[in-house]
Amino acid sequence: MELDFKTLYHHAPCGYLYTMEDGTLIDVNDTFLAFTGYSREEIIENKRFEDFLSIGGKIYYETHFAPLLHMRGEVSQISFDFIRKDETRFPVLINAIKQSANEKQHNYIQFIVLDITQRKQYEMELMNAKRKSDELLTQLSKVNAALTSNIQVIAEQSHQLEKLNATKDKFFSIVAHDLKSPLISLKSFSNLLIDHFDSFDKEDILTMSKQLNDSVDSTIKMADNLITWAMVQMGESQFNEETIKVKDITSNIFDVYQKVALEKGINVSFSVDDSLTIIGDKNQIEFIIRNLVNNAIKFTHKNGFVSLTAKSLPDGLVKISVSDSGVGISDEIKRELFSISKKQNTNGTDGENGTGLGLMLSYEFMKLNGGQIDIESSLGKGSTFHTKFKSGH
Amino acid sequence: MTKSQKKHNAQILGKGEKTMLFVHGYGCDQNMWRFITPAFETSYKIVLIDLVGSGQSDLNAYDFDKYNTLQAHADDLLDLIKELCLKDVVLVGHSVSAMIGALATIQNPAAFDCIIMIGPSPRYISDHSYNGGFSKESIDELVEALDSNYLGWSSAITPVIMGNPERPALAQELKNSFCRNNPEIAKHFARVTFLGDNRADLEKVTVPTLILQCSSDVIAPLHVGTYVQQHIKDSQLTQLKAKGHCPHLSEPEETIQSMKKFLSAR
Repeated sequence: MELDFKTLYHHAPCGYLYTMEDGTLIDVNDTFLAFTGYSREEIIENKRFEDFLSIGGKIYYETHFAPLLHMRGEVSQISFDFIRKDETRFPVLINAIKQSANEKQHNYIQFIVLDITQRKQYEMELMNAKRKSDELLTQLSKVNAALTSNIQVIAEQSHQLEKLNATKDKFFSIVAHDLKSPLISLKSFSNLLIDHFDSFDKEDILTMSKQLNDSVDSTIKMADNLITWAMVQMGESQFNEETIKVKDITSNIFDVYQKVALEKGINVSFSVDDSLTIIGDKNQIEFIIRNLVNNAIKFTHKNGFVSLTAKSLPDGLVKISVSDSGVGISDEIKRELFSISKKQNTNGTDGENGTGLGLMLSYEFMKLNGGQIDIESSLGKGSTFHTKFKSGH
Repeated sequence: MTKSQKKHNAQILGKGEKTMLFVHGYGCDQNMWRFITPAFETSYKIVLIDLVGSGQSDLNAYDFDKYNTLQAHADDLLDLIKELCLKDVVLVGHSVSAMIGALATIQNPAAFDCIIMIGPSPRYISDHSYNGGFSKESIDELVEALDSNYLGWSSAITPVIMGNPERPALAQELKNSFCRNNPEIAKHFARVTFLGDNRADLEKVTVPTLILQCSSDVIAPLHVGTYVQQHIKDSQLTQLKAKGHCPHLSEPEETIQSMKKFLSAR
């Protein structure tokens, strides 16, 4: 069979274009004419390659295709929309190569044009599907982020619940044990009175009644502390912020505890400047200081001393310190001193008992008043509790 | 190497007192000056750069919010000029970089000797009183064309290159292909380029200006070149025989001669 190059050229299953370097058409094959609906005379030397492109395609041609073709000598697999003579469009795939001719002739560019209408439709469907899946992916990652943050919230809540639960357990154990034992001792006192009433004289009954009264007082005090502490835990405590003279608080406390200390043989000295003021809830701060002084006396032996000093610090705070020459606190106990889970209840040097709630409650009040509390202590030598409050100046 | 030099993949060649700073247009990179620079290397120091987001610039530096205007690119040029201590710069800007260059000269005219604009257009979109040659819809068409021609940027390779600007193997791979731009940046820069309007800035240009105007340039047709010439005080327009939008690629000799003629008359 003889090869007919003319037939091969004109009836090839793709369009052929030959252009000058600037894109002006030199020749096209019949397939290209059939693609576009033009006659040969209409386009040869009259049109440039880019004239068949949409406006957007022209920009792409000038900004990407042409520079690449000039620099690399060939460009392949570029997709364009071609415009027919009747202005309808069809998608094409273009390969182009720059042919360098001899010195007399100009360089020319050879293009092949493939009609890819069906493939393009498929590509559009794929691209739409990709776009959709990208959107879904974005949504999915948003949902995922929301879930992750929900999990964090739940973990935090669970942690809070655990803490609350521990608090509640402790509360019940205090009520069950600490509140019940004084009531049992009260009950045995009252039983004694009823069963042996005839064997007691008036003097005995008075002594026992006084003891009963003391026991009731300390039980009431404990119940009060418990209720106050429970209110703080539930966030329902009253808080009245005001400017307070430090001396107003300390002189009340001094009057009460000087007697107690004297009975125990302990020297008490308070040194507070008249002008010092702090900001906070008066009842709560008085509770804190009273508790510290009470503890200091409680854990100090006869002939020891307890002192209270107050001074203004340069950073807008007032420091109130309570020192004693008492038994001191071990590092181990110091760490857990303010925690309900390790509630300490130690009897004093003269067997004084306490509720074990005082320091815990003091610590909660310190937090409410925005204050700080630190302990310096060494076993056998004594302790100093430093508290800091906002200055009233 | 200075920060800006790295950011713009700046190459410095040639020798001379004066500097020519070549800035490529939309869709390409510094490779497009390869037929022009040899003619100036003996008498000028040549600085070639890739705009941030193009070519082998630091793609991580392309902040989509920051580069929402051409001014950000102009600021980049001024930073580079300052860092390299360049003086009396001859700025050669193609297409959108003619406008980027104009903005730079407005901000600091003292740094520049003159500006050569190849195929400039201050506004591509037409309105009732101005014929820029394009409508907003044609820019959407361009973005479609970009979408279907990723030119080697398959989605598999994009994130790797975006995340590893320093990986030499990848850089080497990039070196083998010209004008390959990240498709997301290319689409963004297309909108910034073709939807911008710098007509009001032309009057503020004070440095001597040469406009090289191609024949049958669809992107910057003759009447747009004329508009630019009429609105820049100290400007002249040279009409080239070269067709299309890239005379420095299609007719480098004619382009070089026109540039030399302008520069030697200065």
